[in-house]
Amino acid sequence: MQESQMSLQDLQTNTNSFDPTVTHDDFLDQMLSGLQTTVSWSDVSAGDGEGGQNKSTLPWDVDHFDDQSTMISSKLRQHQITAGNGIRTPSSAVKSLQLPTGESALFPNDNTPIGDNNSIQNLFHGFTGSLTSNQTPQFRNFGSPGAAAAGMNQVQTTSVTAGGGGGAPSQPRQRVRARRGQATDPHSIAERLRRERIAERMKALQELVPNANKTDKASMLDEIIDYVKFLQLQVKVLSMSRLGGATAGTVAPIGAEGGGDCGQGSGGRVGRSSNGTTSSSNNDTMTVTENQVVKLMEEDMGSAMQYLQGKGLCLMPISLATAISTATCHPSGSRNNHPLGGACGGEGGGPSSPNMSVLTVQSANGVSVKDSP
Amino acid sequence: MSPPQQPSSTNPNSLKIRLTHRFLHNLNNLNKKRSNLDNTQIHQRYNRVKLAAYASMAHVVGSRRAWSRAILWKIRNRKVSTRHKRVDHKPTNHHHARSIKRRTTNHSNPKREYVDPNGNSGQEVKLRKLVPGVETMDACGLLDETADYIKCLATQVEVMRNLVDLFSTI
Repeated sequence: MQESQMSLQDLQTNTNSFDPTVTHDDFLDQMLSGLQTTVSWSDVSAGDGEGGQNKSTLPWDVDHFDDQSTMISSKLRQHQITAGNGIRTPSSAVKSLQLPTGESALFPNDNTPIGDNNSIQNLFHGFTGSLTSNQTPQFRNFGSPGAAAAGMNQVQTTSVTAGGGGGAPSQPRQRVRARRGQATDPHSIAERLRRERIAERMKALQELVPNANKTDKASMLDEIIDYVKFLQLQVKVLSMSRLGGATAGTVAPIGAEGGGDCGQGSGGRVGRSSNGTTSSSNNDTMTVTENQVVKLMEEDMGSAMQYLQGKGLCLMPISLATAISTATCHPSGSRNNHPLGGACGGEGGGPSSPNMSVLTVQSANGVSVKDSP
Repeated sequence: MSPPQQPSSTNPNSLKIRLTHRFLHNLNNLNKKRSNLDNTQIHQRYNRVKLAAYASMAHVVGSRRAWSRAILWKIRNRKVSTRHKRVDHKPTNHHHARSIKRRTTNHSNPKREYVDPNGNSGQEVKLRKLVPGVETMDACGLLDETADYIKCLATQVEVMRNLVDLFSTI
């Protein structure tokens, strides 16, 4: 009898946490998913003050039940503590019911009236049919009566808030757990609208930003940030190229940063290689530059290239340089040849990639490396 | 790098044309105002060109967008401050430019806060720093402004690159 009493109480408790849209399995999973709630049996017993029979049965011993039901009941008890009074009110209505097991007197009386007794009665009608069977299936049967009593939640929550003793007002909201996409709460609807708007903006941004095959929002944001930085960098570089004679100090960090986006980086080098209008036309500076380049090349090719690019110069094979100078008939002040002449001699057997990369940059943009008039 | 086709009122082609016009206009003004051929002032010139680029971007877009409004306001403040400061000779352009920038930014966004009170991810904060004028916007508007800003920046970059090519092959 204690088992069935306990199960009835649990049934009542479960109705509070019951959302009509939740199926049996969802409900069970939720219950059995290891909710860690503290149970205070004394509270429960103190809460039930009315039925004498209840007093004898309360506080129910945990040992009376199976492990599973104990676990479930302990979890549910937490909910019931706050909703306890509210739960018990329907019992007053149910008391008139003739339960097959004769447990109508189980439920304690409570003075707080409940809003909708009829729905609760219907619910308990459904419960009574399941009382005869085993405990575990009784939990399962929540599905049908819960689904039948559509307004149960509202009733319970209102009753709880009206009659709930020590429970926080947020407790009923915790229990009501709608399925995804079916929330009726205005807050969640607004939240969902906001999320959708953000999602469509992100999609629009995806089209703008190249390399937009990322589906993750965080990585997409990273891409966007990098792209904005890259574009601002390009504006900076291009504006420097107009003036000509950008200092090496400002260009060198650009070289390091421009390598971040290799796909668009090739365009960024236009500015530097088209720095034809440098003011230094002194031959001494040329030899100095030449020596510097040679020194740098001995240690590291990359730094030599960077140094040259900072000056607005580049390396190219001698054959090509002579071909260009003879073909286009540029003025003899093609300064690049001097360092190239000395440099390419020893560089002929070196790696061809720097030369090729420089040339592809130039050919792509139609800009020659020589001084522009 | 071709601008993406956007079904908006500012379709990329007309935007490009308008940007080109405006940018050339600004560059002309820039060259007429001063003739800085001195090596030491190259940095200043570069800053002016960059400013002209952003200004042309902002002018073309007008006051429709928060970022363009922010840029226009910054420029206006900067002009006012430079006019006042023109009396005393600037020791170094770098320091002056930096101080001017700081003053204008403080005025333009007095409520600027880099630490988001909501505890948002660092990415949003970074984005707010990059795009001008979006400090106090919500996430939705932020993304909107970013999209427009990216579009304009990309068009501006293309305009500048075409001009560079044009000028360097003359």
